[in-house]
Amino acid sequence: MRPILLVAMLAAPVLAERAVRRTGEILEGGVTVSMAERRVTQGKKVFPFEEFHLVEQDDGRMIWAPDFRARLRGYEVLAAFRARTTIARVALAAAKAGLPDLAASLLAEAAAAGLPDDEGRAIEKEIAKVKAKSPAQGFRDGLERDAAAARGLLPRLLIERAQAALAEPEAREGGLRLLREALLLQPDIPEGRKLLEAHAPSAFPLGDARFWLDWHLDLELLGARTAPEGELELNRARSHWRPDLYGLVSSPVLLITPLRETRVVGRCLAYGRLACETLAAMFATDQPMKRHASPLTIMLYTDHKEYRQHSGAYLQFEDREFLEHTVGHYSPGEQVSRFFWYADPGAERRIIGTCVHELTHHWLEQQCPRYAASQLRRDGNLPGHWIVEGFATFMEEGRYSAERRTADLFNPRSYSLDVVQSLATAGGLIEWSRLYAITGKDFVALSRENKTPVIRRWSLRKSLCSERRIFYKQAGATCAYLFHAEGGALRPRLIDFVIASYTGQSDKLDPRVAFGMAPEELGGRVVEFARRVASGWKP
Amino acid sequence: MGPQSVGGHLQSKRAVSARQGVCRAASRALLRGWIALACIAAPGDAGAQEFAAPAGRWPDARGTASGSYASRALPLIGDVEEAWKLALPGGAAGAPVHWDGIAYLICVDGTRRALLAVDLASGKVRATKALPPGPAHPALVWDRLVLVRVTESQIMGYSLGGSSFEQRWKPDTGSLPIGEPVVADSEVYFVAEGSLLRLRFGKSRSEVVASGNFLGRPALCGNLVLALCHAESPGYAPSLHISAFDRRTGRHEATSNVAWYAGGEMPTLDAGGAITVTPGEICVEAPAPLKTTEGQSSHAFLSCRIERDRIAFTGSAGMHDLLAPPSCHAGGTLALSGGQPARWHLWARNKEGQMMGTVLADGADRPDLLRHPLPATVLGDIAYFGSWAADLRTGEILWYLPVTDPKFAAVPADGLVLIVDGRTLRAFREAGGS
Repeated sequence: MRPILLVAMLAAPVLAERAVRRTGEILEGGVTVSMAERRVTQGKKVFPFEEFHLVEQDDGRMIWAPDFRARLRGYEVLAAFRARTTIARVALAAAKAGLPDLAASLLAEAAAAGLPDDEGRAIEKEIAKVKAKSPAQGFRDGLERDAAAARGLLPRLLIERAQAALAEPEAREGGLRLLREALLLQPDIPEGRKLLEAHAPSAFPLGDARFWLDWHLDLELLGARTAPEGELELNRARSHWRPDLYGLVSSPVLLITPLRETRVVGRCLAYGRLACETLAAMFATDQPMKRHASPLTIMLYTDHKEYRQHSGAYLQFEDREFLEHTVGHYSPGEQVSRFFWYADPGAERRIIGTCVHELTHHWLEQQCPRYAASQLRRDGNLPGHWIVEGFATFMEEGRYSAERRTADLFNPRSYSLDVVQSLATAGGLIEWSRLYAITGKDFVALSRENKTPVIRRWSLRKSLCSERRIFYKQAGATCAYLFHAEGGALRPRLIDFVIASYTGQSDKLDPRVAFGMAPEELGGRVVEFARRVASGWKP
Repeated sequence: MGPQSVGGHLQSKRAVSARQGVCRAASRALLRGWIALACIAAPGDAGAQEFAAPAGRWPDARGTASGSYASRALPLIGDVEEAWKLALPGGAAGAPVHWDGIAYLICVDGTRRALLAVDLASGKVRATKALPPGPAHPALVWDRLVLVRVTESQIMGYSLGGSSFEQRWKPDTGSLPIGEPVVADSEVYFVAEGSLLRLRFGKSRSEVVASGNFLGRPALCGNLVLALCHAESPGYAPSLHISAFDRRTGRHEATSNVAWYAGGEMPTLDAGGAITVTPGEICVEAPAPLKTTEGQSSHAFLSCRIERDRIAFTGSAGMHDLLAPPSCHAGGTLALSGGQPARWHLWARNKEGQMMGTVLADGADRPDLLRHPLPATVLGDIAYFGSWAADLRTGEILWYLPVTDPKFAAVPADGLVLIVDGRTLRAFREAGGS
């Protein structure tokens, strides 16, 4: 933030208007800040910076805050302080005007907003003293208007701060978050809606501002906009699928959907983009091959039925059966990822997981800079199909934060590692030598019947897994081992193995050649790794 | 300032809370630091919120006087790490209670007892008060007044002044042994020698709410106080009943028969027993085994409809053997049932009023999850099952605490979970927090 940098350059103490301590105490008047010594002084009292949410100047410009969360919390404390003191003042006025009921009700609101008990008792005593009168209706209305204005102080203050933050490009993300909090408190506040409209892409219906902002936040965070480069795809989808679709780009991802579940849409885009960025960092090279410049297109359907119907139209009849059993897929022929929305507990995370999984296939086919499009091979007879699904599963299980824009590919609760460590003890794993030799065609033949019981460390419920699902998990766990274990020493070989698989270099798709280990040895190490993670190991 | 003077102020908080309702409180979840914390439960409202302790308060070892083990604190859902730990000068007499950032607990070492105040932010002991030798009862706290049963028949109120405890209240509770008390709205309810009694903060004498064969731990819910009582009629086996009274008027509202005692004899009045009130359900921990069609059971469930000051018992008792007191969840009652194997159930009544249980965790599959049969603490859809937590909607386990000897239910505080592990009080927070 510019003000921070500006002030940081000054060695002399700076006069501040107010400072909000983490205890909720507000220091006002005679407050000075020494950036060099990282301390706040008021009279003879000296406090270290660590004790504060924020320190600000008279016009609300911030002098210091440790992070955005603290700054937001500081604003809340300030706003609640003002709201409750104003409400308490109106309560006192109501008591003096002979309106004990209104006064008591306002006092209770002030108390609920944190008015200290001693101040509350003092007003309570005033209320007890007065006798009920019937002042003019206009007077009473005026008091109630004052009270209503006081109640709205908090969202209004947050919007004020949001407006200031949105004017600074570096503080835009923080501004949107403040705006979101204000709208959560008072969804219909006109100032908030106006500000939102000013910062929203004009082509998208605003709808419920709060939900829109959930989506908008993530999307704006990633710099998305309505997408001219996706127009062709969108128009095609509108004519073949349904006319009420909209398309959004959060480069390199284009999402086409009729869904208005803005939170999920936004998160799919945000996490999809994060996954692509993570892949780009993993496969970065000094000599990148030129790849397809068009966005990675995702079709997000409203339900399984629509997913089946629409996806099936592009598939041969004999290929359609798999749609019954999948929650999503990447279609290499069309270069489109497809999945559908469903609402049940925990669905959001699973949908996002599917999005990342399919986008991993998609990115590796379309955008990986380590090989050219002409080098791509799709051969169902190639061994080592585990790397295709395993790598996408590994990416799917990463821990992504859209807000912090970070990806952590080590997930101690990884479903794959959990299943492997469980089945390694109980029995039911696919033999490792067989697993690593499975081709694309063999994979299609794996059983889908859920019959192997799995008791996972990270779930209360016993689940039944099919052979195919176990394949995914063992493959995902192998990728997790190769990525994280041995201090990351095997990571380059894992990347090379992925490249070899996508470019059809069958001679490199043998674990002995690629990793210097027999399949059973590699499998044993994966099991050992899964057990270590279950007992708390971290890279 | 006498603690009773707070009453009116708190009552007004309750009034506004009732008017504003749960939705507004929820929409202000962000402001839970002061708003949710100050919202005292509005018992007449629908939903589970009113049975839950506010985020910054846990007045009773069971959370609230409804005995529900529910909290409005935001649950920890990510990885957890230890925030601090504190070696205790003895075994804890019960789960810690806390009010506005200070936790209180009683430690017992042989005949020595001490009341501790612990700063939740730092984990440091703020004050210690040696107590006379006596029973190992947990403390209660309301409006920063800490209530301790200093002897079998005496309750004492202390408040924290700087770095020491000051005795603030010594009511006359007579010379008879008193049962487990509950506190809410500056009133304490307990049973002594068959009578249900009330103490108002600051008053020196207790008042009799009702006399009879009352026993165990009562429960408060809105303007109602519920208590267990025996009944014995000529020609009939002795049975256990539950009675409800209006707290303001003392008027008897309703009584429902729970079940007959399996042994055919009434247990003594100091045999214990407790009530948990949840939305639409009351669970009774019986002072002695109750008769069922199959044999006997330790716990009974009654369905009921509770309004602010009215109660209607709408269904007969379902009977279960439970390994730990049940807790309240919006979707029903969470309970750890005994038997081979033990199981965590989420019980709810269907439209026909039958208790239907969903097995959350089965001891046959996961004996590790049932190693410590402690009550679950409920925070919305997240439950802290002693040393681990799970999302009740998805069945996903959120975290495990690295504790070896958890003694009581995990206590939620704003941003923390507290647990007594052997002779150590440990606090955990979400990893990366401060």
